[in-house]
Amino acid sequence: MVFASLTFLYFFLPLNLILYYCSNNANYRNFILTLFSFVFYAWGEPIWVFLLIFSATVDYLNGLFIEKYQGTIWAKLGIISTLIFNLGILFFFKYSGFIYDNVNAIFGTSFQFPKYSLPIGISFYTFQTISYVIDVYRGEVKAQRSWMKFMMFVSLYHQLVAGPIVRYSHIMNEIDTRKFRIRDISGGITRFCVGLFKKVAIANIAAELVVKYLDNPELSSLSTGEMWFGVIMFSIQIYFDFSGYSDMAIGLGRMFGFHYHENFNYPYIAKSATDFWRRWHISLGTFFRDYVYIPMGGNKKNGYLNLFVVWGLTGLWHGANWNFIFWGLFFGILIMLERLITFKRINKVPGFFLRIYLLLAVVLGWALFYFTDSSRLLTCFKSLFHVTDVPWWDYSLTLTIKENIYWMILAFVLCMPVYQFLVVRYRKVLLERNSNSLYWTGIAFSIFLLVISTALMVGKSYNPFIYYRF
Amino acid sequence: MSAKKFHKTSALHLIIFSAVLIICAILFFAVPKINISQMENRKLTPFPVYSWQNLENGSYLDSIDLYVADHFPFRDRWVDLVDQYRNAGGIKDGEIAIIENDNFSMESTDSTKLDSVDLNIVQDSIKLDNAKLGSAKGLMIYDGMGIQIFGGSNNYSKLFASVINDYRSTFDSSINIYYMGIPAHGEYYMPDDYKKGNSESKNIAFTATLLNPQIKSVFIADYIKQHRKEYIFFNTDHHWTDLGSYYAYQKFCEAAALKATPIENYDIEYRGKFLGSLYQLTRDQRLKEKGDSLIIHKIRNKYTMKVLDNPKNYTKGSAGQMYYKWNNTYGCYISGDLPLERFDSDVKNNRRLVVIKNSFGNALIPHLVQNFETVFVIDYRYFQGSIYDLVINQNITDILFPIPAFSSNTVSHVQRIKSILKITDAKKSSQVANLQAQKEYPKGTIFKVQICSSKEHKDATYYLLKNIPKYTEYQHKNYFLYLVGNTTTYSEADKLRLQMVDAGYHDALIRGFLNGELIK
Repeated sequence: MVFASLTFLYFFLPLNLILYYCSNNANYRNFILTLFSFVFYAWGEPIWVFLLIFSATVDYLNGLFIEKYQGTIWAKLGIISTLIFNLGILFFFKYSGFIYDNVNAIFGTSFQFPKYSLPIGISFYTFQTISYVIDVYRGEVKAQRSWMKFMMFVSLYHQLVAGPIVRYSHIMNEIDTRKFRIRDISGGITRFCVGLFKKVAIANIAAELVVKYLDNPELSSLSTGEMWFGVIMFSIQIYFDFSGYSDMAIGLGRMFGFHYHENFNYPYIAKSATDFWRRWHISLGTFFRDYVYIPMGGNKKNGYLNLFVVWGLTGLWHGANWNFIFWGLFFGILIMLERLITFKRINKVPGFFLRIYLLLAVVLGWALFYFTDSSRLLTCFKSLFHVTDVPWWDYSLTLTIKENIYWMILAFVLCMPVYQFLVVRYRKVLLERNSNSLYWTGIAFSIFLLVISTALMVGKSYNPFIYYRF
Repeated sequence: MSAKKFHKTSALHLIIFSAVLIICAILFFAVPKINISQMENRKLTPFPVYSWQNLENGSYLDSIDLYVADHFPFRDRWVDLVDQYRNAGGIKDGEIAIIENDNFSMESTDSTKLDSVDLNIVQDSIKLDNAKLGSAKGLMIYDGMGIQIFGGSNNYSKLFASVINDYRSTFDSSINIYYMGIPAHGEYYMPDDYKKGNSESKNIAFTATLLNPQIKSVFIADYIKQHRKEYIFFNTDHHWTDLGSYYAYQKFCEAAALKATPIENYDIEYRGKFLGSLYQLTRDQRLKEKGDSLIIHKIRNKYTMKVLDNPKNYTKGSAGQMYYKWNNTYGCYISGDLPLERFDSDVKNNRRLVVIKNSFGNALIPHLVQNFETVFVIDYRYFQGSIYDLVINQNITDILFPIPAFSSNTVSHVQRIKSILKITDAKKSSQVANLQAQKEYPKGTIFKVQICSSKEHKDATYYLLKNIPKYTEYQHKNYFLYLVGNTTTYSEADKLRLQMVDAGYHDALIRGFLNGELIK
C-alpha cells in the first residue's frame, strides 16, 4: 500500500487509529500496529511479507545471541553472519541481475538469471536491522527481548517502504513506552498533510512534466531549454516525492507516539556537496558514515579511498545500475575537491555563487541519476550543454512554463525554509496578539491540504475515453 | 496561549481530521454506486473477484484501490476541484496551448489516437526507413479549439495504399472505388505562427499517387478550406460537423457523377450545446468556454435504416435512427459506431454503395443516402464479416473509403481495413487464412494476443490493463508489449483476438513467440 492512496487515507488509517487508541494496553497496541504494518506491506507484496518476517526473526535471534556472547569470538561470528545474511538477501534480490548482466557483457556468456520482483523496501529494512545488530554488538543498545516488539520496530509501516532508515536507538524507549500527547497527534496530522500535499500536488505534477520531456522517445529532438526544464522538473519531483514521504512517515509516527529523526533539511539551499549530503536523506548519509566510513578509518587512514568506497556504495544503494554508481562517485569527487580546496577558502566565496554551484551540480547529478540508458544519457548531456545541433528553445516550452508558473513558484519557494523563517520571525508576535486565529488557521491549513490532495488522488482515476469502452 | 487552550485546539484538530476521514469512509458505503461514468464514457472498475492467483500477483488488492478511487463519494466534484487546482497553477494563454497527454501517446482504440506500435515489429515485410510512432502527436489548443497534431508520414501511406489497391484488384473494374482522405482541424485552423506536425493534405495527396489509377481520389481539402469560416469543425470534439461533411459530400458527388442536394434542401434541427471528446480528454477551461452546438442538417428523402446484427445477413436487422434522439453530440449520426448498417432510400438509379469508415464517416452517411438506392455502412473497427461477400452478394456498384489521415497513418487501423476484405466465403476464408498464417510461423510457435504496447513499463493499474486479470509483459527493444493468451494454433489466437476486439481492444493483434522470443 502507499500513503498517497484513498484506500490508505480513508480506510486503513482511520481504522488503525481507532483500533489502536481504543485500549490502553501496551501489548495490545503493539500488536495492532504490527498487524496493520503486515497488512500494509502485504498489500503490495503478498508473498515477500514472509521474507520480511523471516529476515527480521533471524536478526532478532542474532541480536540475542550476540548479546549473550558479547566480547567472545561467537559474537564476532554472529555479526559476520548477520552481515552475510542481510547483504546476501539484498544482493540476491536487488543486485544479482546487475551482476549477471555485467558478467555476461564482460565474458560474452549468456547466463540467465531467474527474475524476481524486487521486494518493496528491502533496501530500507535490511539497513535498519544491520544497524540494530551492529549497535548491539558494539554494546550501544540492549538487544530487544520481545519478538513482537522487534517485529514492530522492523515492520512499522510509517517508514518500512521508503524510509527514513530508523535506528533502533532512536526509538527504543518508545517501543517500550509511548506517551499519548494530543499535541503530538495534532502536529503529526499537520506534518502528514504537508507530506501528502508535497507528494500528490507537487511531485506527481512534476512527474508528468518529467515524463513529457525526459521520456520522450525522440529525446534528441528536444531543445536545450526543454532538456534543462525536464531535468529541473525531475529535481523537483525527486525532492518532493522523497521528502514528502519522509514527512508523512514522521507525521504518522507522531500520531502513534514515535519520534523519528528528520530525514531532509532543505537540501537545495546547501552551499556545497558536503553540506547537501548533510541535508539530503540524512538517515542514509549517517548510516554510511557510522557503519562504513568511520569503521574503515574515516579520514584518518586512506581517507580518499574510503570516500570513494562510501560514495560508490551510496550510489549503488539507490539502484542496480552503473549510472547510480557514477552518480554516487560524482558526489564523491565533488566532496574530495571541496576538501582539497578547504572550507576556509570556500567560505570566502559569496553564498549566492556557492548555491548556484551546488544547484548546478545537483541538477546535473539528477540527470545522471535519471537515465539508466547510457545513449539517452549522452543525448541529454549533449543537449544540456548545447554541443549538438538542437534549437535553444521551443515556443511550446514557453507555453508549458506559463501554464505552470504559479505552481513552479510554489515548488521553488517550498524548497526553501520559508515556514521556519516565518515561525522564527512572526510566531511570537502572532501568538501574543491573536492566538486563537493562528490555531484555527493551522487546522484549516491542514484540512485544506488534505482536501486538495484527496481531489488529486480521485482525479488520478479520471480516464476519459473518446469511445465507449468496457 | 495557555497550555490548556493549546491542548483544546489540538484535540479539535484531531476531531476535525478524523471526522473528514470517517465521514468520507461512511459516505463511500452509503452512497449508491454507479457502474458507468458518463463524464468519462467508460465502465467504472468493479469490485475485484477473489482468486488466489489474483491475490498472489497483487492484482486483487490493486483493483481494490482502483475500485475505491472510481467509486469515491462525489467523485465528479473532486475531479472539478482538480481542474481548479490545475488551472490556478499558471497562466492559461487565451490563445494557444500544446498538450501532450498520455492519451495521445498510447496505442488505443480510436482512429485519432496514437498507435505507438513499433512499425518494425508490426510490418517487417514493408521497409519503413523512418519509423515514426503513430500519427497523433498531441493536441494544440488554439483560440478555444482543440487541434490534433498530425505525425503521420509517407511511409505509412505506402502501407495504406497497398491495402486499398488490394481492394481494387479484388473487384471487377465495373465497381467504382473512391478514396476520400479527410484532413482534420489542423489543415484549416492551425495558426501559421505555431505550425506543428506534418501536413495532412500533403500526406493524402501522396497516398493518392500510390493508388491504382482506377481508384478515384476525392480531394476535399482545398474545397473545405474555402468554407473554413463556417461551422465545419467542432471546437471541442475531434470530428467535423455535418456541414463540414456536406462539402466533402459535394466533392464526392462530382467524382461519382451524381447530383449533390443543395444545402437549402435540408431541414435544420438545433439540438443544443455540448462538450466533445477533446474537452473530456483535456478538461481544458478554454475549450469549455468555447463549447459546441449540435446543428443537424436533416435530409428530406424517404429511407429506411436497419442495424444488421449478423455480419452475413444483409437484410435482417432492427430499425435504427439516422439522427439518434438520445444523443446530442456527434454520436447522434447514424446512431454512432455500429459494425454494419443498411439504408434503403427512395432513389431509383441502380447504384448501391458500401462505405468503409470509422466515426468520421458517420456525419457523411445521411448525405450519401440521398444519392443511392442502398447504402451499406461498415465500421471497419467492429465489422466481423467479409466485404468481398457483401459486395458480390449485394450487387454493389460503388465503394467509398472516407478515411481521416490520422487513421490511414495508424498501422492497426490499416490492418483492420485489410483484414475485413476476406476474399471468398468469409468463414472458410478465415479458416484458410488462419491455416496459411500458421504456416508462415516456424514449428513450436506460441501465439499470444497483444492488447496494447507502450514505450514505458505499465503496471496492472494502467487503464488498458486493469480489467485484464492475467496478462504478460514482453520487452522488445524499447517497447513493452502486453499480451494475453497462450496457444499453439493461430486460429485459437484469432478467436481470442476477436474476443479482445469485442471487449474494446480494437487494435489487438496476434504475435508469435518461439522459445520465449518474439518472432519478427
